[in-house]
This record gives sequence, structure tokens and C-alpha cells, in this order.
Amino acid sequence: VNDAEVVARFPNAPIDLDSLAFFRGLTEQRVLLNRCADCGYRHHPPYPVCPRCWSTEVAASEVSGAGTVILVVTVHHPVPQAGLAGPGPHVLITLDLDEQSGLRFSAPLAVGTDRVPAIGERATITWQHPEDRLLPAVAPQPQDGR
Amino acid sequence: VGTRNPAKDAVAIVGAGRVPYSRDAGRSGPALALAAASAAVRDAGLGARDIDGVCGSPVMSDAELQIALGLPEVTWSATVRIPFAYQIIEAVNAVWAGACDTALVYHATQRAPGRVEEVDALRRRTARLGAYGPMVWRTGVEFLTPEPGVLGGGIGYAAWAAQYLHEFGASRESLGLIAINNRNNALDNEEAIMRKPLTMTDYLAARPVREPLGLYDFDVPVDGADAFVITTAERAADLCERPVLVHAATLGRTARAREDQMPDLRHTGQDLVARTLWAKSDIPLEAMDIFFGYDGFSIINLMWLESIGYCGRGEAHDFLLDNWDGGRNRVLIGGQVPMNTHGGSLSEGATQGAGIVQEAVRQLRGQAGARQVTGACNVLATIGGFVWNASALVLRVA
Repeated sequence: VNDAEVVARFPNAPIDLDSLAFFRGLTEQRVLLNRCADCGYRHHPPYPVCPRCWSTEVAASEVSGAGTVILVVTVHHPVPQAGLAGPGPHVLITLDLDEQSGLRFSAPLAVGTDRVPAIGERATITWQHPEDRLLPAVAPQPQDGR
Repeated sequence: VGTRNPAKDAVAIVGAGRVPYSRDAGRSGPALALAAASAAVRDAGLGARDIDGVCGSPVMSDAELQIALGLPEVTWSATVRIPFAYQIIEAVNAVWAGACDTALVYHATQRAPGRVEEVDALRRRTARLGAYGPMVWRTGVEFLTPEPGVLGGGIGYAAWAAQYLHEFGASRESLGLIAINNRNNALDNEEAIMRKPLTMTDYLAARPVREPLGLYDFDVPVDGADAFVITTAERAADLCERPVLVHAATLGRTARAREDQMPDLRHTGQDLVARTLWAKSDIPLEAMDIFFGYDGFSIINLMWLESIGYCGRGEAHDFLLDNWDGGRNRVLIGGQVPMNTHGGSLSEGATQGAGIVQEAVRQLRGQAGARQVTGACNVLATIGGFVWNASALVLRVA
């Protein structure tokens, strides 16, 4: 996927040279968050410098998608773009990712999920395909005995 | 207007960083800002936890810069429009007032035409989204396709240049002397973009852009960034050997500050800056070792010479000829004081005043290399145009 195609796939996203790799990752169903080649620290959203050691040797690096729910919000207004959520209010979730304490990633609760995960619950990033686009969502981990 | 100056010599510049100017850095505006900002903090011998104030220009907001650099605790911050002198003035006031102890100020520019096709496409995208205002300038939307009847920016300044020539019987050679001085100074500046000697013949033969202004009357779009660390003079004395003290600073804007509504060339923001600055400064014009006149367009530099008091309105042409160093083919006021030692926006590159501040700091610290003015202690920097963004700084070392 070349740069122009990445830009075309996310018509409303603030894509620039520093966020390009992240959005390219989304087109490949991968979550790539910036990681410092010198000190290993990860950060998001992407900036061209490591916020811990100020190295500019940062590069988008894949994360597993597994994490712990830290924020949950049910949004009645505004109404999301078509296909991103079912009818009625939609839920946005922020995960604290397993790779690094404090590294956060936010996405809608996956369409068709039958329950809203609670704060502290384990969850993972999944993918959905609204209107032929590929976007990340969050799905709670199946609980034992279900 | 107020002419108190309680912050006089109480606040100092103690660190400087730069991303050298280029015609296409191939990096985002924020990347440039962050590189210069981190370099300035390191130059001051400080780290992230020492910075508690942030002030920059809109290519990257103060909050974003704090996030990106992981500055742990900030108690004062602002994002301020150009010229880059306003940021210095804001930070001086904040440090003096106690809003913060040590401020990081920065300016990044991304206006040069990009050469990489995909990068350009991305820039247009972000410009359309309004995510990064300056990219609108980069793509030329504002400057190249103005609405009919709009007399803003460089078009407005060209119109006032014509008015200047009309009212004072001056000729284009007056403006040419500015371009030639700045270019010939740039020959000594390895970081300057334009380093080919310029003659009056070259100047007059250049293609007209907005008459009476031609190619060499307009600054050169570049990518680049400058940043500075500002703290109390007391702390500065512990941090470095030659802190650059901010002795006096002011901006000046009069009513009707729009290009086509401005009443005339005698009641401009520059005139207000001069009146205010000289009331605030204990150091008189005659004691300045270097003069910096902002030259986003040549007419602005010419006007500053007059406004700030080197000569009367309309007298700049004779003044330049009377103070011309024929050997070096440049201005040397009173045989001693050079103007725009770095080459200015016309030749070093267009960074909206940041280049002036960087060069002033380098000269005062004795770090200006081949163009070092021996013993430079007092510097006058007049920054901004004459419509809505005139300002000036008097900087010194003890």
C-alpha cells in the first residue's frame, strides 16, 4: 500500500509523515505503535522523537493487541460513521496494552459484542470492516465457563 | 501606551537549537520543531524536567510539543502566531512574572516546495483538513491564488512598496541595496540557502513578481526550525558563561492594521515599536553593535531602518549609500555596524524572524564563526512587518 493509498483510505484522519506508518499498519490489520530503537520505550499517538530519551530513532512496531480495559464510555451523541457501531449508543474503550504499562489504545467496542467489558477486564484488539474499510475495534476476552 | 520595563535584564536566553534550513527537509513540521527544541534544551545543559514553560508557533501546539518531548511538568504555555519575536516576548514576560522558571520557545517553518511527490500529496491532504495551518502556506493556496480584491501578505506589501517609491521619489535601487547587503552577508553563513553574490544588475533584471517587487525582494521559502531556552538572569548566571539578557522588548500595532486599510507609511506598527522601545531601553541606538532588520520583503527592512531611527522616513536610500562598505559591498553603519550578518530571510532563509534571533544569540555568545562581529555586546533586532506584526528586541551580554 503506497502513501497515497493510505491517505485515500482514511479521508478524515490527520495523516502526516509522522503518523503514516501507523495508518499503513491499519490497512494491513496490524497495530503499529512507535517504539524507540535506543531505549525501547513505546508511545502513542506517534511523534518523531522518543518522549523518554529524545532519540529520533523511533519506528512503528507491532503490538499484540492484548490489554486491560482502563476507560469505557457510552456515547449517545454524536452518532458514529456508518458501520462502526450498531443502532443506538456506541461504546468506546481504551486499553492499557500488555507491552508497556501506560501505553494506551482506543477503539469502538466491536459490533455484535453482546456485553460491555468492565474496567479492569481483559480485552483485545480485533478488526471490523465497515463499508469495505478495515478498522480496529475492541472485543472482551471470552470469560471462563462460557 | 505603557513604557515601564520591570523585566529589564531580568530574563535571559541560555540555550539555542536549530535544524539548518533546507529547501526540502523531507520531515514534518513537528519533527523539525522537536529536533530544534530538544537541541536547545541540551545546549542549555538542561533536561526535560527543567522545563516548566512552553511557547511556540502553530506548526506544533505547545501541548503537543510537551507530550512529544515528555516534559513532565509545565505551569505555563502558549501557542503564538508569527513573527518569531512574539514567542520570546511572551516567554520573557512569563518568566519575569513567575508563571514559569524556564521556558522552551520554538518556531518551525515548512514552506519550501516539496520535491517528493507522495510527501506533497500528504501535505495537501493535511492542509485541507486544517490539521496543520502552515501547510496551507506551503501549498501556496493563500499566496498564489488570492481572491480578487484581496491585498494581503506579500501583495499588500508590494502595494505599499509602490506607495513608498511614489511618495519619496525613491527607486527600485533602494530596495536592491537591501537585497545585495543581505546576500553578501550570507556568503559568510554556511547555513544560508542563497550564497551566490548578487549585483544591482542581477537585482534589476530579476523577474517581476508583484510590481514593483521582483524575485529578490521576497524571502526564500525553506524548511527549518529554531528554539531557545529562556530563564531568569539569576539562574542563567549559574548555567552559562554568556547568558543573553533581554534588555527591552515590545510589539507595536496600530488601529486599521490591514494592508489596504493602513492609513499611511508614517503611522505604522513600526513607528509605535520605535517610540516604545526607546522609552524602555537604556541602551541607545548609537550603542548597538549589530542591527537586524526583518526582511520578509525588502521594503520591510528598508522601512525598519527609518522607523527605528537610523534616518528619517523616506531617507533610507541616501542613508544606505552614506553607510555603504564598497569593499564588501554591504552596509556598515558608521563604518562599524553591520546589518543582518546572517543574510536575513532574503538569503539565509525565510523563518519569520527566528533566523534573526538565532543569529543575534550566536553573535552575542561569540559563536558566529567567520561572520563574528568582534566584541558584539548590544544587538537591536527589529522583527515583523509594518502592518500588523511589528516588534523589536534589544539583547545584550554583560
